[in-house]
Amino acid sequence: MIEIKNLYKYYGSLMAVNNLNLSIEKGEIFGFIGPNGAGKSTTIKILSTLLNPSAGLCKINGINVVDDPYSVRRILGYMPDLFGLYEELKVCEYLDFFAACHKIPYRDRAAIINDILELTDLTIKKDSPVGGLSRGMKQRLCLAKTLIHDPLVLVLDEPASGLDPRGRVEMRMLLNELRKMGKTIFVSSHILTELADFCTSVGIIEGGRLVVSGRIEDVVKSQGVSRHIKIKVLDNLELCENILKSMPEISNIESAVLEKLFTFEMRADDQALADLLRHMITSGVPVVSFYDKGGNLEDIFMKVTKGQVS
Amino acid sequence: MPETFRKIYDALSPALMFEFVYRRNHAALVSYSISVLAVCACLLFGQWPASEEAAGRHYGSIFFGMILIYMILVVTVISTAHASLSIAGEKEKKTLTLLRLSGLTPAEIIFSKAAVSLCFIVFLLLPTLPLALVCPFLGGISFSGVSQGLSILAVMTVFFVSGGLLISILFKKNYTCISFAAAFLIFIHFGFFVLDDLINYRLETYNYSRVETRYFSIFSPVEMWGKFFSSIREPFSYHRGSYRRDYFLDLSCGESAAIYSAAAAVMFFSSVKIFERYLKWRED
Repeated sequence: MIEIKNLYKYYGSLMAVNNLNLSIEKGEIFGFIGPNGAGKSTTIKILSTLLNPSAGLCKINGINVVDDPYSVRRILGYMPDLFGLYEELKVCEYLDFFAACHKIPYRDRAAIINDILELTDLTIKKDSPVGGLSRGMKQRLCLAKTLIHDPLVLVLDEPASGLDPRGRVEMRMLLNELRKMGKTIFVSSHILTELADFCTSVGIIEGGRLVVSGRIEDVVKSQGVSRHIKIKVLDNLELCENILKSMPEISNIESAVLEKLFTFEMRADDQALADLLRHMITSGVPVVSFYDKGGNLEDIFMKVTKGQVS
Repeated sequence: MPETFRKIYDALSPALMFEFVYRRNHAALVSYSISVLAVCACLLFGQWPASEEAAGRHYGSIFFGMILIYMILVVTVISTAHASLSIAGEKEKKTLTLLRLSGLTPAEIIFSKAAVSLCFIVFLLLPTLPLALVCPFLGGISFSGVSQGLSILAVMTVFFVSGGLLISILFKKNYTCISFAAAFLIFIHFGFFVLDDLINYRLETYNYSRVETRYFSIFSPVEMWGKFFSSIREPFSYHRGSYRRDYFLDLSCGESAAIYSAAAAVMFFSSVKIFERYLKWRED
């Protein structure tokens, strides 16, 4: 769905994007991670037809963003990190205007707007002026505007920045909902733990270069980063601890006796995790829950980046 | 706003719908119109001939002159300022990025912004229009004179709106645009006179014969309106003190208006082209 080949972008002598190659399949949620000044926003703006690349190929659904930006804009929904709103308009008028811009017929608009408002949980604010919305609601309204023409691809630049914890959770739920609807989502964020929760694949960019990319499991495996595991048992804590300590690939074991909880890091694939669970159960440890928090994206990020800017 | 109006605007352009239906400043415009109407009515009452003898004087032309000066001021200042803030305002509010990706074409955005500025000016001048049409009945000016004045005013409105739009596209910030709009107005009205003075000062003929030759000032709206006023009132004297003015190119006010309409067309289509390029790639 999204294909980037040998992409370069220069601002004068400054190389903002350096030979970026990326391929994202339909229906994926791609997390684009990088420190400030890494080239994330530049790449996103090139994808969104807002910036002309210095060299390279960038295609969305097979359409070259340089050759036919207007066709790309019809299938793309872009939510910028800093966005302006027409604050004097009502929420429904704001959406109606952008629906009209996308040539959605007048008779269909009301139904589409109602659906979008419901999806973004803004129905209650339908007749409120945009200027009176909270930051989180404005963020959701911008996302609603992005969805108004039912785009195939969503490009979201820091969608959760500036949101309170509740707003972040709601935004994450909304993105998961959109993923279920089959949208391909390209999202950049600094909040790595949240990306790990809903992204199917990630790319880490630093100094304009893509340092690592791929499905999260593959990246974790390739980088040799430990998986964070949490086990809750009913009793027999001592036996459980002994089993964990006996395994060389397990490290950083922490136990909470009162909660009967063990957390540890393990360098292992899915098969090894299944073997560990089976071993515990056959050894007589009454396991209540066994939770794989996955590879910590922060660990990967810290491992592959050196704090360079482009 | 009735659904029918929304459908009409919608069919024309969503940008027009946005500007006319959703951005509500109608109440301010209506109250402004009523107050202007009241002021003009007072002026008209003050100018109305008190007797038949007095009616023989050219009250119509005097009153039309007063109304026209007001109209010229409104058109010159407000149309340029309004248009110069239109696109720059979108840039400053960071809403232009949303418009760029909205499916509207650059030409559609420019046309709607120009239409809004023009309609705004028409709305501001609307209360004075019936009063201008009353002037021929007061004597001293014919209907053709009034219509000529209003036609030139219409041309000048388009010219200043086009200039304002061009400024709005070229610069990012509102204050830069408004500063350049002011500079544009000052130059277009008085800059040509300064140029002529500089040229005449360098020429020896001026020093000996005291004859000023006007090269560029004929293109100034001041000169054009001066000619128009002289055509509707007593002949305007081009002699001042011991100086005499010759015109390098003697244009009638109709010809000057034609030049302004051509300049407006050039500025407008340049604006569209520049904006198309801007919207295609440049990040605001």
